[in-house]
Amino acid sequence: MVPTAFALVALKQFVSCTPSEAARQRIRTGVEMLFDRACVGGGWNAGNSIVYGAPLAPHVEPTAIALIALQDEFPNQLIRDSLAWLKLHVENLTAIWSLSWSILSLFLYGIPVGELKRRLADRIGDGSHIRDNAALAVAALALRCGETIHPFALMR
Amino acid sequence: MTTSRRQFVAASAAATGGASTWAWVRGTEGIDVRRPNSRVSILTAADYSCDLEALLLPAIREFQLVVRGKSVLLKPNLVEHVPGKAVNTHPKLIGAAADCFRRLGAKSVVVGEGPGHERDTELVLYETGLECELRNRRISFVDLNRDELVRVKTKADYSGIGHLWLPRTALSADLVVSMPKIKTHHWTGVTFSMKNMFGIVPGMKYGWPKNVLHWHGIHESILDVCATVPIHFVIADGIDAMEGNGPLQGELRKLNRIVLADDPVTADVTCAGLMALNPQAIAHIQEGSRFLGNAESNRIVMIGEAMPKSIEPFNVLPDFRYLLASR
Repeated sequence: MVPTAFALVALKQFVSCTPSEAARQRIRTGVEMLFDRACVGGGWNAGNSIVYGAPLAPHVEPTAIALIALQDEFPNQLIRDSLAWLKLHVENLTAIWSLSWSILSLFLYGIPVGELKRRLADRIGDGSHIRDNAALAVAALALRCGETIHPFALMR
Repeated sequence: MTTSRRQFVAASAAATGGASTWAWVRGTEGIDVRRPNSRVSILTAADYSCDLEALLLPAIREFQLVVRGKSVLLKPNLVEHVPGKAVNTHPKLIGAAADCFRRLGAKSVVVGEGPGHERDTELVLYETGLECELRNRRISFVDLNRDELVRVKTKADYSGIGHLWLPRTALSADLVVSMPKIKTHHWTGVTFSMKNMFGIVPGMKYGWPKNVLHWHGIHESILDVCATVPIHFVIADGIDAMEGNGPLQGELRKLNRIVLADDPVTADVTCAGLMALNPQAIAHIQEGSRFLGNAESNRIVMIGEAMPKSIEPFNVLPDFRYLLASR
């Protein structure tokens, strides 16, 4: 569902000024797909939400990214539950990738991220121990969240 | 690679009305890396607090592996942290194995994994306690989901995928040690050393949960991956194992065993035996025994402990009852 979420962000961003009916339909399909893949009680993981009748747990990063894709949707119960799940699970989070995406996501919903940014900065230090450039890049964006243009904020 | 067509019928199929019949559309030709004899060792361990290094080191020595001066990749099974569930290869066993290979003179020992479900590998390391274990022992970790990639032609062609982008760390290691968790699995029946190699297939290229391999057939992809990146040694964590709806949501099963082997098929056959399941009914193990390793008892040398005389079969999902019935 993560590729779908990013595709949604791109589609919504690119057609915001000149939305075609085809683009609108494609966006609706993507949104419905995300809703369909949501975990029981809110949130998302990278794959199925239920296997052999047993619900799978959501993960932080896919939940944060799905919420970014849904930022301009009506805040239905699923979105509210997912947001509540993310807020709860980010409380003790220290992993750079998940923390960074959480900051970028929560900020879009007007949730204060100052403490999370401080925690992220502590974790990163001077960045020299981070070997994953993708994590470093997302962390850099998250640390400037609210200070510069948010790269994933949709034009409305 | 040719695309010979043949039919695999598990030995159990006749008895089970064909429940485990598996049709291979493609295959392999000319590859046979089986050795004349393979060795396996079953170790008993009450829990993870015992001195695992003291247990492992003499047992590994018995295999007389050439470790000195070699680069060793330990490939555990890390999926995600699920409290109370025996999902992941235990950090203590991974740490003990790493120290054993260092004591045996390895030039380098790294732990590498590309979790197939949780996309944030660092999070898995923290939550499972592996990060702390590796830090304390000064062992490096490589996220195989995001490692430098090399495009390689698969050395078998069961999946039809032809080529795979694989992590340089896995391709360049002199000694690849698969360290699976002994579990049931809701798609493949079981997950041992061969299925564990899905973790070397990078998520950054193939997505989570490694979707491309699923679409090309899980058993087929397992065979292609294992043919392309050979497993040189296996240390399977069955101290705490999983039964039922594995690999994430099954129940804890105290098996109290570690399986060592110098052959992945031998290891997997032994793990299945410890679960009282029929390895011949597991498609990738049965087909792997044709070219990747030995499954026949007359080509397997047991070192140390024998197989327990009486084993309570592991619970399996209804779709996999033929694994029990065909014993």
